[in-house]
Amino acid sequence: MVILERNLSARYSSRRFKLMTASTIKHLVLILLAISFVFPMFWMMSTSVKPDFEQLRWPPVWIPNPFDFSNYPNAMNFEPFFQYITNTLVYCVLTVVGTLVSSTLVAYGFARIDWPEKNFLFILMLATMMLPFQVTMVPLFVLFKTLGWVGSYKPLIVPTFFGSAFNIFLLRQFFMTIPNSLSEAAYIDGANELVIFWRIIIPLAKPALATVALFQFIYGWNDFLGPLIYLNDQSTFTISLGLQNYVSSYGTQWGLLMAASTVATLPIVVLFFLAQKTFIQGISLSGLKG
Amino acid sequence: MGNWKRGFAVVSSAIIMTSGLLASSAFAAAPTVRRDAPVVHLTYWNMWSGIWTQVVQKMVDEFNKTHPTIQVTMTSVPSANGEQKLLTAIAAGDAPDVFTEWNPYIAAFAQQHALMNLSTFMTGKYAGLKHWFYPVAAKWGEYKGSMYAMPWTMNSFLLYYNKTFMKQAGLNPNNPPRTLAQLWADQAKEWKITKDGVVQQIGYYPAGNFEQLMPMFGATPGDFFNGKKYTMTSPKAMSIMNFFAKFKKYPYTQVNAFEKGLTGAAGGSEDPFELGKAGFIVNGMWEMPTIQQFNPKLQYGVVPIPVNPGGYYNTTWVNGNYNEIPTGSKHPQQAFEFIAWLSGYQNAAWAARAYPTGGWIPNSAVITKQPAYQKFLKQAPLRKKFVDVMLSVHDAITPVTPVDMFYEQKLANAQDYVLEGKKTPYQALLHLQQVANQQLQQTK
Amino acid sequence: MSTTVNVVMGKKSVKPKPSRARLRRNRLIGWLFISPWIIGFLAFALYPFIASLFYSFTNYNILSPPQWIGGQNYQQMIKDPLFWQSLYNTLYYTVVFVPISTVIAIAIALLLNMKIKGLAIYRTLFYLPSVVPLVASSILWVWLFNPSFGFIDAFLRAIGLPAPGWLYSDAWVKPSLVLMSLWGIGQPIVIYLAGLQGVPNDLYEAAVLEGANTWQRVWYVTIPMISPVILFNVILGLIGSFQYFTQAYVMTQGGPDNSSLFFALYLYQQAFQCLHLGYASAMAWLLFVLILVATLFVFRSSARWVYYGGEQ
Repeated sequence: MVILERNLSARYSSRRFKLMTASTIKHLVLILLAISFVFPMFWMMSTSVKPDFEQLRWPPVWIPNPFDFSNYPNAMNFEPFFQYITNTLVYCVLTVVGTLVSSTLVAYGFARIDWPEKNFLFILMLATMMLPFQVTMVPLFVLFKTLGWVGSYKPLIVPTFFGSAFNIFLLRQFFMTIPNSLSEAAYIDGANELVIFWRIIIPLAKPALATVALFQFIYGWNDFLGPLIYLNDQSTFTISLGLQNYVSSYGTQWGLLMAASTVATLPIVVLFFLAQKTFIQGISLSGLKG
Repeated sequence: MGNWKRGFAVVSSAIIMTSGLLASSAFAAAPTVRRDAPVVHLTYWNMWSGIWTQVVQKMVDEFNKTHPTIQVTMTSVPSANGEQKLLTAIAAGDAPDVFTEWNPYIAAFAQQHALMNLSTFMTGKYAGLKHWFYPVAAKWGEYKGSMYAMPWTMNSFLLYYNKTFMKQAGLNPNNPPRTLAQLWADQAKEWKITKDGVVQQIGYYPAGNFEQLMPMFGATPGDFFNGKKYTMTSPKAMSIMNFFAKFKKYPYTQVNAFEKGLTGAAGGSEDPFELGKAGFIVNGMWEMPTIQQFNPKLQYGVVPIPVNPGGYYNTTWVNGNYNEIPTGSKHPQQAFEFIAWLSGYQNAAWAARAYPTGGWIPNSAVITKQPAYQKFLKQAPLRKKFVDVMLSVHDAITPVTPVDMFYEQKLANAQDYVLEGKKTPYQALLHLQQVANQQLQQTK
Repeated sequence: MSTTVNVVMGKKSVKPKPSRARLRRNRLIGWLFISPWIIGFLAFALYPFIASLFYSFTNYNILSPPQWIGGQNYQQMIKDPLFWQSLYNTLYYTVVFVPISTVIAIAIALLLNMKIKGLAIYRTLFYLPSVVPLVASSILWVWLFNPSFGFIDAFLRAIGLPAPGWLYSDAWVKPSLVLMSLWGIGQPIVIYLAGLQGVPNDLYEAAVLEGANTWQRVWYVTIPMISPVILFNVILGLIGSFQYFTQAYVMTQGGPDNSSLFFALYLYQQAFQCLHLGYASAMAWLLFVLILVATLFVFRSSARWVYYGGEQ
């Protein structure tokens, strides 16, 4: 009896030990990988608090000595920084709205309804991503010029209300994994496609929607070429254009550039941190077998 | 332009005018806006960035204040992909009234009639403009005998040398090299390469300096281009490339990384010299404020680029920033008035005060001679040397052709081939000549 | 046409055929649902497509109107050694980057899908490189890859390995750029993570009951269940790699000796630096066909490896 008990407790503790080592190894692997992924961000932030004479030292200085926070107020005063942030924010939010409204509908049409021409049209849609922007840019600009949109945000925002191939494709892939039996059952109960779309697919695809919204937001935040081509007035510039203002072939303001980049990046990082729960925890199809 | 944009223009001009009125009531000397005079609005693009945006914006503000009937709105276009924006706008007939470009595009744009012929405006009170500029500065802006781009601010190039390194190598830091032979000998003593081939310090490395060395070998644009074709295998070009070939004894890949290290990053212009890792470098005057900011302890001096026998000492290769009026400009006459004003013609005293705020080298000796500019040079003796070399009749530029942009890219490749030892000077130059002429033929 | 596409897309109808009336109704509803995209396509995409195809048969320098020259641009392409070089560089990059990035992204996503503490932070950290502006990070890369002072070479020498010239050597510049791109796989990781949430728990439980070990569970349960998003990421990876441009433009400008002259970079140089938009358009259309063929090939194969829950 005693022997048995001892055996049991030994087995119990060895299992706990195994679990603990497994978790330690997992953390170790993740931490090692994470360090290399944090590097660029760390570098940017550390340079942003270096005094001028340390910013270009060779070999580089990793930890500033002394810390110098003056780059932050200086960078913010260097150009209408918060104006650019506000412009970018408005632009991003509008494109996210446009994308969500249009891309979900179109993706549903491609994913959940069986109709003859859809595969051809789907390939056609993918094909719109395959021609490099460099050669469609000039005619596209001429088109927007004819519409009288150049110099405003319209060329950047309006098209998102008609869906983008990237987001439609992504949503289609998620919609297609939802068991057909769910919509079939609703259909037999007399629900039409819009009801199925709104009541069944959208609630189940929340993580995918959050992903698409996040990507669209970040795309707008970092987009450089679009705002560069269509915006003419300095006061309407986005932050991605604003960051270029610290760079010059006659001498770059590295400290200011890094400080401004840090301030421009942090909102995205916070947004991601808050949003990741939504798109990671939302969907679980267990129990919804097809 | 959309209604929104027009709306903005109205609002902003209203603001400008209101502030102008306020200013005029505050300072009686400022000109008052005549209500009945029609105001012409100009759009002006440039690719100035960094602290220079503010320098140029102040100049534009000053113009707007002194020219109530012409109001200029400036946009500073990020230089990364800036030419894409400009070309796209031109293609759509949406070009600005004025833009500032760097030189390699000028002839290409002029050949395609995308720029207005500025010579046709140089009559009456502007007749003197033809002879206003440094001759070498004017030549960059000319195509087939007419001016298409007006020189604004110029770049000249000198040799920077690290005094500490010279001392360490047993050289006299007060006796920097005057001949290329001496530069070759001096710099050779400053290299530090470890046993396993790691470069730690370089003497001088000529990558990218082919053009800057032109006058040092007595070369003129005519030596490389005969008016119809590139002649890159000419004796002068060969002698420059032979100088390059001497440097193939250094490990190309390692040195290239060293040289280009920071230049390659994000359009920056940092180089090993300013970080205290190179003994000599050929560069423009912007190197000085950068050293002042990032490596203030560096002990250095500046002298004219050393010469080969038969070359010209105290000369330089020149490039710069030029103002142009696209063919689509709605108000060319006012646009011309604006760029002539910026160039300091008839307001040299203003230019002599304004140019130093950007550390600029003027486009004309008239501005340089102004007391305000001389005062600036007295305070910065090293800068004076950059301005002095502008006076030489032997100053050189790259041949102005419609394929300049392409030529400069391929010239950079040719230099690399020779430095790496992949091609002999003759092979590299012959190849350059062939592809450049082929390109020239295609642009007709 | 639609049947060919059906075959190409590798879609076999598993379901019982719906009635004719329902098919007719579906057709109308289908078109209605995708109508926003159709309108957008006709309004904003069609004209630029046709115009660029037209330019590819012209001599067009952007500054003056295009002149028709027939197929000359295409003929010239065949004779242009830089065209072939850039095509090779791009294929190299694609063939190396797409498989490696797919495996690594899935592996990291699996790691980030475990039940351990601090996951939210880990997930955020892995996404960081994707949001740091290149203008700020490129100087770091230049430093890391520097053969003299770079961190990577110092490490390699310390453990007695030869240190390559990275961005500055003909042989190593492409692997260096691939390595750099691997830092930016935050987006596929997020997509895989979202996909992993859709894998039902009872499938894992069933697999455990049948005695499957961890690897078998990943291979036979996880991978098939996330195959729709793998398909997505592979296709997007293909399209992105074929058009790879930005890092090369910012950091190497095609050098050394054209070994990082990628297709899209050469195309850009031709269009906006040499003012040959006609030639660049011809190049772009060739690239378009290449990407389309590669995509169709992947789609066709997907019938064998992509599993859609909705098809059951």
